[in-house]
Amino acid sequence: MFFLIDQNFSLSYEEILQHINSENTYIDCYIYPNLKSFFLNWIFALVNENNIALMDSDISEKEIKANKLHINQLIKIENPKKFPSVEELINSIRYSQSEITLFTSGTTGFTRKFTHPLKNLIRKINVSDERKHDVWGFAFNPTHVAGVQVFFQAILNQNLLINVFLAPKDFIIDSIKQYRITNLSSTPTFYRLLLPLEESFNSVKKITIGGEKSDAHLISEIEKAFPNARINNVYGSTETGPLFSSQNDEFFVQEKHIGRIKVVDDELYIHKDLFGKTTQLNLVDDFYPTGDLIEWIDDEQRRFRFTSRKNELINVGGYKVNPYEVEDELNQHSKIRNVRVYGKANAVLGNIICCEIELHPDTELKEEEVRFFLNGKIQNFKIPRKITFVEKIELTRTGKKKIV
Amino acid sequence: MVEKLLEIINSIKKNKFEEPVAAISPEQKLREDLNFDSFDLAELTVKIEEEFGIDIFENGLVNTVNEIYEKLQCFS
Repeated sequence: MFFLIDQNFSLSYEEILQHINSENTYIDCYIYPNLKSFFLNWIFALVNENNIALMDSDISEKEIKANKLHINQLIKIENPKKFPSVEELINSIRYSQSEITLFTSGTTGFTRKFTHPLKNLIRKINVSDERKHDVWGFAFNPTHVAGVQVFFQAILNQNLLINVFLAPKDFIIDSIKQYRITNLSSTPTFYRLLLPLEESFNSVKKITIGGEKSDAHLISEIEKAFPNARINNVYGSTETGPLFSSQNDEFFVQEKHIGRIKVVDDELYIHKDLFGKTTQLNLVDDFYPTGDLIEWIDDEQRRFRFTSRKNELINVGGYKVNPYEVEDELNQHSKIRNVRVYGKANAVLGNIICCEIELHPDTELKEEEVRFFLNGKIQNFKIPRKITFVEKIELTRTGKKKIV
Repeated sequence: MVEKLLEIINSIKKNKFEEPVAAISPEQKLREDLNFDSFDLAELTVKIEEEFGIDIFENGLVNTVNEIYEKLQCFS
C-alpha cells in the first residue's frame, strides 16, 4: 500500500516501516532534497518523540544567517523505537509528544519560528473508517501549516498522497483521473490555475481551500468542476494552527467560540485558549491580534467574512511578501536612489509584486539587471515582476512613500 | 501583435535567464512548451495589459499562445 506517489518516485507504508526500523538518526532543520526524504526524516523524529523544525527547502542563505538558524543538524537516537506493524507505527505518530517548529515570514520580513505540540496541530484531524479510502492530491508546501495538516490527515488514516504541488495543470488532471483523487487541499491560487476545467470530476468528495482570502466567485467555479465535493474554506496560520472552517467565504462564530474571539477596529482577535501554547506571540489581554480584517455579515455578529490584512504583507500565491524587505535589497544597488515596492491585484497569483525605481542622476539600469541583482538574494516569489523606472517616487506630506 | 507578443515572452525568458525563442506558434502551451510557471504567467498578464490594455486572464486562465491571440483579437 502506497503512502506517496510523486512524478519521480513512490513511497509505500512498508518502506516507511523498514526505514524507521533500520535508522538511528534524523536531521533537524533539514534542507531536504525531495519529499520522500522529507517525510521519512520527519516520521522518524515523530515516532521517537523528538522535536523537529520543518524548514522550507528554498530558504535563502541570507535568511539562514539573519535568523541564526542551524540547518541540517544530524541527531542520533540511542535506542530508536522498532515497530512490528504499520498500524503500530501510525499509532505512535498519532500519540507522539514531539513538538514541531514551523517558520513564517513575520512583519519584519525575516523568518519567525513557532513551535507547536503535535496534539495542537492535529486537533482538527479526523481519523475514522470513513476516511480510510481517501486519496489526497498533495498541493501544499509540506513545511507550511496547511501542508502539515494534509500530511497528518493522510498518514493517520493510512491514505495515499499524490504529489501535485506546483505541478502543471495537465499532470494534476491526469492524477485526479488515474488515482481517483477524493480530496484536494490547496490555496485559492492553486484552484485559479487549475480552472477552468473542460470536464467535471466526480471522484473528488472534498475540497479544502486555505492560506489566502478566498472569494465567492472562485468557490462557485470550484463547485461546477467538482460537483460531488463538499467545500471547506479554512482559516488558520502558522502562529495559531487551524482555527475556523466554512462551506463558502463566510465564517460562523460557533457557540464554543463566543467570548474567545473579538473584533477591534475590524481586526480579528483570538483568545489564547483557542490555540494553546502562546509564548512566542504578543498577546493583548490574552488575545492574539491576527492582523486579519473582517466584516460582520449579520447584526448578531455571528457571521463574518475576511476583507484584508491589517499590515502590508502582500500575499502572492499563498506566500507572504513584506515589501520593505524587497525595498531594502533594492536600495543596496549603487544606481538606485529610491524604490517603492507594492502589490497589484493579479488574476493568476492574487497579487503580483511591483516596484517603482528612481535612479540616481545620469545612470541607467535595465529590468533584467534588476532581476539579476535580486536573484539569489531573496526568494523567487519575492522578486518584483513589474518593474517601472520613474523620475520621482511620490511621497506623502510626512515624507513617507505613498502606499498603494 | 505577433512580434510584440514574442518580444514580451522573450523579455520574461530573459528575466529568468533562459534562452529566447526564435518564434512562437499558436499551438504552443505556455506552461509546458514555454516553461512558464505561475509567476511568469502573472508577469505575462501584466506586460500584455501594459502593451494592449487587456487583462487576458480576467475571465479565466489561458493556456496556449492561440488563446492569447483570441483574447487580443476580440478587442482589436
